[in-house]
Amino acid sequence: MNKFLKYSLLFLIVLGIILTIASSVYSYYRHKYLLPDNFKISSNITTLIIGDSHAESAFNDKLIPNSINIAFHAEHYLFTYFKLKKIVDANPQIDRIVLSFAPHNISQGADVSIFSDVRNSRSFARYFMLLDKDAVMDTYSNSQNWKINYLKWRFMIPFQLKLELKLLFKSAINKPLKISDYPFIGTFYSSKKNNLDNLRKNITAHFFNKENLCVESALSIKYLYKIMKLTNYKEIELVLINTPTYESYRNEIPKFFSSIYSQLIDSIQKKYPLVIIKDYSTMKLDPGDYGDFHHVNIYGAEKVSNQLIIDLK
Amino acid sequence: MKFTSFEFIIFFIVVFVLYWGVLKKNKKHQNILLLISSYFFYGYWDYRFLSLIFISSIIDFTIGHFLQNENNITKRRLLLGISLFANLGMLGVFKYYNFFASSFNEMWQSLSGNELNFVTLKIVLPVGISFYTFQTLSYTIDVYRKKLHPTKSFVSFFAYVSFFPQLVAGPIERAINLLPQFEKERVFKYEKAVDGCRQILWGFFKKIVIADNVGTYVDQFFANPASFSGSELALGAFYFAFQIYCDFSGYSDIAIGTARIFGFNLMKNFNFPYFSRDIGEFWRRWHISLSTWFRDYLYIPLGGSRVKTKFRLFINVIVIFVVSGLWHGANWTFVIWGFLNALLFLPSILTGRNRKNMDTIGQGKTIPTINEVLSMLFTFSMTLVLWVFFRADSVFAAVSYLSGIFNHSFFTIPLKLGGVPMILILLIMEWRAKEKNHALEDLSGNRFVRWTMYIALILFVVVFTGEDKVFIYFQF
Repeated sequence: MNKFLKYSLLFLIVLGIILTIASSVYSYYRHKYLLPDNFKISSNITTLIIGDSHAESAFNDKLIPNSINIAFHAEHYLFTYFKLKKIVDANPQIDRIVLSFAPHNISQGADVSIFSDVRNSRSFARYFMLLDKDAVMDTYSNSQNWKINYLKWRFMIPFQLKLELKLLFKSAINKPLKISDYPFIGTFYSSKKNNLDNLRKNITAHFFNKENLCVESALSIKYLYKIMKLTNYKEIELVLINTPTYESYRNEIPKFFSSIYSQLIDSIQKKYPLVIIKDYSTMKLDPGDYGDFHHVNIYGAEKVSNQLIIDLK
Repeated sequence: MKFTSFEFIIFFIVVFVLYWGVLKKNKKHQNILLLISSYFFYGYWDYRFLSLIFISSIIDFTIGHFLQNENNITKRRLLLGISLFANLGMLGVFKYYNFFASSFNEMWQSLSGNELNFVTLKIVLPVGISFYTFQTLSYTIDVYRKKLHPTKSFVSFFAYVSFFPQLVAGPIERAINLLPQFEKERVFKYEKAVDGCRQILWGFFKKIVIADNVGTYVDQFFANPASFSGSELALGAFYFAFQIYCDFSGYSDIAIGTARIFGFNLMKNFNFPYFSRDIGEFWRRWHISLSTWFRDYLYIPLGGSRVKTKFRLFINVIVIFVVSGLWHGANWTFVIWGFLNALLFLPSILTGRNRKNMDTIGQGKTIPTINEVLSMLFTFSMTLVLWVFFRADSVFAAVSYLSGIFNHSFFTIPLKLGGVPMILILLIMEWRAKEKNHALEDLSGNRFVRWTMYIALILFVVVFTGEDKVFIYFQF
């Protein structure tokens, strides 16, 4: 027993030393190469399109002048806020933000991307570079794995080894990192898909927790206001857009959420009158313009993008 | 409580210190500690279901006691019947009732055109119910068969049923092997404890680094097979084969290793099954504790392979594989999976060639023969196809997944090859230890080499931990 304890202790000490050295070296390289202001985008880009899959699929940045679409599917407003903060700090030329804003964004269904164990790990892996300690504690204390993830974040253990090594390797051979190298940066989702099946699945994912109606997400609303505060402070125009959805989808949105959504719009307009809110959800599109019940495909995106150009002139 | 959680590390340290430090001189106190800690371990997930383990234990303990004093064959049968009814009844209600009720509803509707609305229950499947039910049943059946003397110790029996290392996902231990270990003194052995630690480490590597990692790809492939090429879907099936192997055998390794540290020897549950040369060998190497359970308590009582007609043998094989499929889950996909395994196995047993590969492939050699490689690849490919039924949500989804594999896009180079290097490491490590109990068992050389190996594996585990998936076999 004593022999076992002695060698166990010795092994743990050696392991601790090696982990500390590895984490320190890794932390040094990560700080040096990954975390500084590599979030620069081209100086002619003045409009930033951001948000979740609705923005990702609806706005074709090749059609919208001086814009870049960096929206990422299932992105919670919490992550959008931290992403935005870094990017507007590094790119003072940005004068307009287009953000997707639909009833499902304020449902607790949106919190799944943070709180469910599996998705939490993936989101954490993707966004950890952006988060501050408060955000980590704010969100991950609700998850089974938050302790492990918190420690990994704290002790600089790679979340996505392959991805981080790729970035480090690129930096090491003096190839400057581009914003698109980062895992949390999305791009316009150019899809010709037209799949109008399983409406119930879409509605359930957005507004129900199994069979029970979700409540509104206090976390989402909190970070939506933080985004508005940030853009207001930086004097950046913020455009909130509810992108087109299929009529049958709109009809199935629970009344509770339609009502909360309307109240939130009223409250935003009172508090931040300069925020522009556009409702494209009822925009006239052909059935073939939809990727599914609540996303447009590449054909729909062309129409939506053209509409946006007209509206923002 | 999951093995891959912080809580388990703390739990393990506390139990270890109390077990070997404070209570080492008193086996009875050690058993009480194991019983309390096992109930805590299970109750940490959902304390309400502890009542099921308790009821199951008390029934079989009592019946065992009565069986000892009863010589009347009718009464003995009645006692055994009560145990079977109670244990399989609980399993049936919690695991199979909804499946049979909804299947009956669907069948009725398709035959008569009317809805029957046979009521279904809103119940949660208790974790590990199939495992501990089979474990307690083995006790009563062995006592009934007079192969085992019933224990007089309430604590030993309850600790045997709920022994935390293997409570929720096996190995399904026989009373004849595990129960006597609770009734004798346990002495701490350095070599045994070190080997236990190695097996735990290998289990963590398999679960966290391989199963969870390739599981992410598997989820993508199976969620939307229409978006992937034939080669990618084949890769998805390949990944799933390793996900389920590493997930389940990883759990078994952690369970066996943990038990060894506490002085117990659990049975081997996996014997490098993907190195099998035929389907019979595969089933002698995969989930051994379940296969042998079914062999001893179902197949042999049915007459086994010593029946008079080939037809009866055919039926016995079909029954055992279908029941084994159903044991895994209340879904037609598992039934079909079991049935297809039976179809693969039948030709060899009907021609008496099912036991031709009783040794280990490439025994004593580093490189196998071409014949061995080909038969191993063929067997693996067959299991790969069948795993699709195991993983898919429905039989239709499985067929559509398989039809997606076998088309012209099968010959394209797949994306998402990120899991392959880890699987290669696994195969190399396991190949070199194929005649051992686990991949790290025979690590020799000086301490520096061994510790470097351990630290490398731990680094892998640390880096990959966090993307956590529940052990697949918990649902069974």
